[in-house]
Order: sequence, then C-alpha cells, then structure tokens
Amino acid sequence: MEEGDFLLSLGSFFVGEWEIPFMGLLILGITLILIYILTKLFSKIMRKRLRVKGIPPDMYNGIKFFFRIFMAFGIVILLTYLLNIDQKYIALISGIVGTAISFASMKAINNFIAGIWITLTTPFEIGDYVKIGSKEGLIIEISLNYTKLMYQDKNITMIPNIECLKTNIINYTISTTWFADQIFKLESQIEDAKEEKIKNNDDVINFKHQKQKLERMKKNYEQIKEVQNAIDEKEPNLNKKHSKYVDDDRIVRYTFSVALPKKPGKNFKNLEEICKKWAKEFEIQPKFIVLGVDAHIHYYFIIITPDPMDIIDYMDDFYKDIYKKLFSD
Amino acid sequence: MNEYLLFLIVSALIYFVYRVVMSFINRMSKKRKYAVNAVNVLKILIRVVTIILYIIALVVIIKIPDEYLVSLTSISGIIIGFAATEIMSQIISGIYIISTKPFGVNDFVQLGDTEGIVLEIGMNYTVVQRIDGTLVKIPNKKILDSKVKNYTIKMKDELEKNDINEDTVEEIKKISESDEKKKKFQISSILSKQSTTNIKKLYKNFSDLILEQEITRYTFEIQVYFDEKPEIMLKKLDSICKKYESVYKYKPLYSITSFGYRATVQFIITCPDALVIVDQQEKLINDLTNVLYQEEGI
Repeated sequence: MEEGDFLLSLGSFFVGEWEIPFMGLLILGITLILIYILTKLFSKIMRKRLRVKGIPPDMYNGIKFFFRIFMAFGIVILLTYLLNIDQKYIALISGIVGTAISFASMKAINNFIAGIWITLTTPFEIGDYVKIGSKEGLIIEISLNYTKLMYQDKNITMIPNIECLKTNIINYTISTTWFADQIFKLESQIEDAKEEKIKNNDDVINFKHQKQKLERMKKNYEQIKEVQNAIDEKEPNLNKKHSKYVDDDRIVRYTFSVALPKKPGKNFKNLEEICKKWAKEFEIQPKFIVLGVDAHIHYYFIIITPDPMDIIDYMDDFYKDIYKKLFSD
Repeated sequence: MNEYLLFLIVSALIYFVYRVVMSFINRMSKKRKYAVNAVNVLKILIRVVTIILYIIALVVIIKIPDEYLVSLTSISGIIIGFAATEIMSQIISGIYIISTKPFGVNDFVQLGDTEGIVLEIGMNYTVVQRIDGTLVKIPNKKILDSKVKNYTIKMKDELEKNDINEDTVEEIKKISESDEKKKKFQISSILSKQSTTNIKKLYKNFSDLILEQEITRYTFEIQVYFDEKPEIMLKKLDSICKKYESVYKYKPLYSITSFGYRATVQFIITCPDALVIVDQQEKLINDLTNVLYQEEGI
C-alpha cells in the first residue's frame, strides 16, 4: 500500500466494480443529520411520556445522559465502518474512552446505586426525623439520586445518597414493629439455645449477652408502648391538627443538649416548669437528664411526640422558653 | 434477512413478557400496599434485565463481530465495577468486623465520637444505643477508619494475654471463697509471682475481678472548679464513690488528670454489667453536680 492509498481509501465506496472516492463521507454527513433530527424527536417524545407518567426530572436527565453515550458509541462504529478504518482500533479507542467515561461518571452512578441500596436496606423512610452526618431534618422524599430533607427553618435540602452511606445516621423516629421483630427473633434464639445444653465458656457468655440484649430491647419496647398508650388515651380530646407524617406505628423521640450555668438546683426547678408547660404541645411531657459537666452542666432533653412536624414547628419556641426562664431574673 | 426477522420476533416476545410482569407488579403493589420505593426499585431492576435480554438476543441472533462486543462489555464492565466499589467496600468491611470481632453485641464501646452499647452488627451499619437512648447507625466502613475503644474486657482473653494459667485462677477462687483474713494481700502476692505489670496495675484495688467472666471498665471526664478547701472537695468526691459502690459492685475510682483553670477529674467505673453503667450514668452525674455545686438556700 502506497502513501496516497490511505487518503484515497478513506471513505471510498464500491458500487459494483466502480470505486467512488469520498462517497463514505457523504453518506456519513447525511446519516449524522438524520441522527441529529432523530435524537431531537426522541428526546421530545421521551419528555412528554415521562411527564405523563410522573417520573421525576432527574430520572429523565439520567436517561438522556445514557442515551447520548450510546449515540456517541453508535457514531463511532458508523465512522469506522464508512471510512474503512480497521476494527481493532475501535476496541482500542473504546477502552480509553470507556475508562474516561467511567471515571467521570463514577460519582453519578455511585449515587444511583446508593439510592437503590438505601431503598432496599431502609435505614430511614419518608416522614422520619433524622440526623445524617451533621444535617438534621424531616425526610420528605427519597429519590434515586438525592434524599430531600426539611430543615428546622423549613428549607428543603437535597443530600446525595452516597453521603448517607458514608456518615452516621441517627433516626429519631422509632417504629414499634422494629423492636417487636427484634424481640421475637431474640426470644426464638434463646429458646433454641436452651434445647442444646450449654457447656462451653464462650457460649455461656453469649447466652448471657442475648438475654441482656432481650432485656434491653424489651425495656425500649415497653417505653415506646407506654408512650403510645398515653397518646392514644389523649387522642379524643386533641384539637390540634396533625401533619400527614403521623403514623400509628411510629413515634419521634428527639434528643438535644443544652449547656447551662452551674446552678443545678435552680436549673432543675426551671427546666421542670418548662417541661410541664410543653406537655400540652408534645402529647407527652418532655424529660431531661444530666450527662456531662465541664464549664457548664450539659442537660439532654428528650422530646417524644407522634408528629415529626412538631419538632420543626416548636423547637425555636422551646429554646426561647429555656432562655427566658433561666436568664430573666 | 432471516436473522433479522427472528430478532424482531424474539424482541417482541421479550417486550410482551416485560409488559405482563410489569402489570403483575402494579396489581400486586396495589393489593398488598408495599412501600412505593421498593416497588420502584423492582421496576427499575426489571427494566435493566429486559435491556440485558435485548442485548443478548442481538448478540446471539445477529452475530455482532467480536470487536464491538469486547468494547461494549469493557465499557459497561468498568462502569459497573467502579459504581459498585462503595457498596462492596461497605459489605466487605461488615464481614471484616464480624469476623475479627473488635467488639461484640452488648459491649460498651466508643466508635469515633459515639459512645454507647452495641445493639446490632449488621452488613451495612452497626447500631449503637447512646446513653441518652437514641439509636445511631454507623456505617461499617467508617468504623474501620475511626478509632475504636472497647470498654468491655473479656477476662478470658485478658488472662491469656497476661500468661495466667487456670491453676492460679482456681487458687484465687479458693482464697476468695474462704473466710480468711487478708484475702487481698494473699491474692496480690499470688499475682505478683506471675510478674506481669499490667494486670497488677489494672486490678490493684480489686483482685476479685479475675473471677468475673467479663467486666466493663468505663472512664469519663468531668471538669471541676477546685475553689474550695481540698479536704472538702475531695471528701465530696469520695462520698459519691462510696455511695455508688453498692450499685456497681466495685468502687468507682477517680483521678485528677489535668490541673489548669479547671481541674479535669477522670472517673473509672468498674462493673460486671455494662447495662448497669448506662442506666446509672444519668443519676451519677446528677448527684455529682448536686454535690459539687451546692447552692445555698435551695
């Protein structure tokens, strides 16, 4: 093959015995225009159909992204076919391009898979009051890319799903069914263990642990049940409207800490009064415990309510009350 | 041309099956009220499977040249591989924690800056119940990255570490059960024969600990203004320790670890049951604050 042959063979096309130079380029141009029109049409139709089906826009963008990648791939194949380039180059180029694309889209796809993972493992559900890392709020939506949180200032923030996999999650919403499940599991395990005689020293400790855990779980469960019963009794004379996030099965047990000056007697009296005052709003009287002493005394408040919106609505007033009570005189 | 026709028929068949499955899922989800998210994920998975089926049909029937196939699979393989790294590392770190056991269920631990009792060690998260009762889910991968402090000590491991054989343990058991005087002295003399410094330090004050199956040795710090006379201040701390001896079975100890503007006092609580420590913590600190910062007139 001489030097000029490469340029001549570039895009040459055979019609019967006749070789027409640059015919391939012409065909390529026409097909590119056709493809362009087709993609425009396709995206329009897709957008309409997705809107009808109520699929969120981030899903549409994802589909568009993948569609474009496949189009690019198709165009590359077309190029090599029409311009008579050796096919082994495709494998070469696609290897490079593939690596580049995959590195670039790593985060997006990671996010996507994290979304699937979260919906499967359910560390939280819609309507839970949670703390993800340092962000605290009510979960409004879990989509495949983002989890939407409503902060205490009622702003809605989107947290990437991958973030939820990496940081600590505190779920302030507790479901009774979770505890009931756990208790049932533990009870059956302990029953099984009784049938086989325990001899090994490790087994004795294990058995003891399981019993302890069961005790712990039962204690938790009873606490929740107690609260729920109290709420149920109160229900008829409730005149407050609940938000849509209230569920029979779930309650919110929210904790936060305040640091107060070192006057335990006075603090205790004042905080008790505040708790009594807030018993009306939160169905159950809030509690507080002391869990730390340094320059200040650290009090932990425990607020129990069936409605997560209560916390968003009233926390500000609660803080204000503490401030007013403690520093007014 | 025959191949293309076959491909069309097969793809139509795949589409038909896909529609049937989808309508079935829709009906089931309406009937049984599954979570919306779960149903959506299932649908997406089915869509992915159908796309894969289409591709397989394409490859098998129309016989695409190998070069295209290699490039296609390499791209998709790299993408999927990278995407799954996060979750795979989660799962593997979960398996790692379960197999190496840096801590067990019911242990009192500090993972990073979370302190509490381990309720559950799962594949993705470890659930810890903090002292104030909230449940914290910590990703297993994060546990591997952060420091782990296990307050619960398994005595069997501890004895093995310090080369104490079962015979000495038996000996100590006999002594502690007998009514002899100077039990402590005898036990410590036996231990000093073993000449291990660590265990002597740890159990200087209560040698009975060796007979327990496991103990939790929890330490926490408080900061105190030492602005009163030393006799009064130290007496107050002593009185608290004495009061809680019956609760924890062993007497809590305290030591001053730093002395600046405020003194830092470290409390060491030893108890065979970790749950007791968690339950009593709130009362202990309440008592401490009340004693240390007594107000006149209330």
